Amino acid sequence: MDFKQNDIIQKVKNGDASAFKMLVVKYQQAAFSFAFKIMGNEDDARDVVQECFINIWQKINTYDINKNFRSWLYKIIYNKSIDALRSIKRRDEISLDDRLYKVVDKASQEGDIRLENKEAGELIRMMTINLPEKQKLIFTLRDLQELNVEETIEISGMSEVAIKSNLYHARKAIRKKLLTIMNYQMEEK
Amino acid sequence: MNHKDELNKKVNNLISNVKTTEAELKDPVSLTEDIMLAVGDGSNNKNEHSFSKTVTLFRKRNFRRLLSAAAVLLFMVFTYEQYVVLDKVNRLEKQHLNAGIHNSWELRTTQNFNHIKHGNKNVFHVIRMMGKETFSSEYGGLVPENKKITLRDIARTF
Repeated sequence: MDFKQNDIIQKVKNGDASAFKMLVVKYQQAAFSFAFKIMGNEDDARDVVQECFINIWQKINTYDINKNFRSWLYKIIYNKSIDALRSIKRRDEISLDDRLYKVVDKASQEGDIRLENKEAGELIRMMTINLPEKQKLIFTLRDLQELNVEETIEISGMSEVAIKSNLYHARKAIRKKLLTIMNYQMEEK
Repeated sequence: MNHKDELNKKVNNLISNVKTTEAELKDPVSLTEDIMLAVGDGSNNKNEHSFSKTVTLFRKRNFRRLLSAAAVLLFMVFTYEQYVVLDKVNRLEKQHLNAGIHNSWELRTTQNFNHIKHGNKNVFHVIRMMGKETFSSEYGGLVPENKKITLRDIARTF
């Protein structure tokens, strides 16, 4: 598919649904992957992506064509994910059972380990479940999604200092949690 | 490698593997279709827009869960109502049936007395006296003077 992004976006701005469909096809995988890293659950990530693209269709005229589309997309996903996380906070829980220990064991092996969506989701939720919202989101943006500081500032709206501080505390808490789990696992063995 | 180093390495491996795992979107075509349906294929028609909003609402998992819960609740209420109504109908039917049996028993006894009255007057007299005694004991021995004791009254006392 010949994809000239600015032309496509201009068409979408003019209300061209087929151009919008091209945009959806092009970005939905990246959008899903990003939403998944925040939500840690396929169904929730799918809902977020769907709402995000509906939002894009409705607000495409507010998008400045000279800016990076991917950052704008991520910003919308980020905001939608925060709303979704707040609404599902009460039902979200994870239990450290044998199955999860096996997933931890598998993921901590050396080399390029291919994790299933469900396994990755459980690990993400396990690592971030008790973190404050800001720490969780900054950790996701910086460490899991590997965005640079500028992009993180643009998406989260936080200052560089706040990002660094949240990232430091998030990493510390996650590392502590993982060390405890793995230490227990090794002693059990 | 000591224990601490090994643990740190495992933690790094885990974070790295989670980082490099690209969550795979299953059935992307259906997601595209859902999105296109929700935006109403770009139509500016208001009716279509509101229809697409409704469709979007139905596609939300929480909304579907809520609908399922409401359906189950309604079914439970309906079952309970049915139980209450059926129970009442059964009780009424039983009462009606009992009343019918009681009335038919009284009627049959009265008919038998009539038969005895015409066949054997002595036996009838004895039965009548017994009946009167029983009947008067029901009133605590104080049967009103103007009370006419019929065969049906006597039959009821047996």
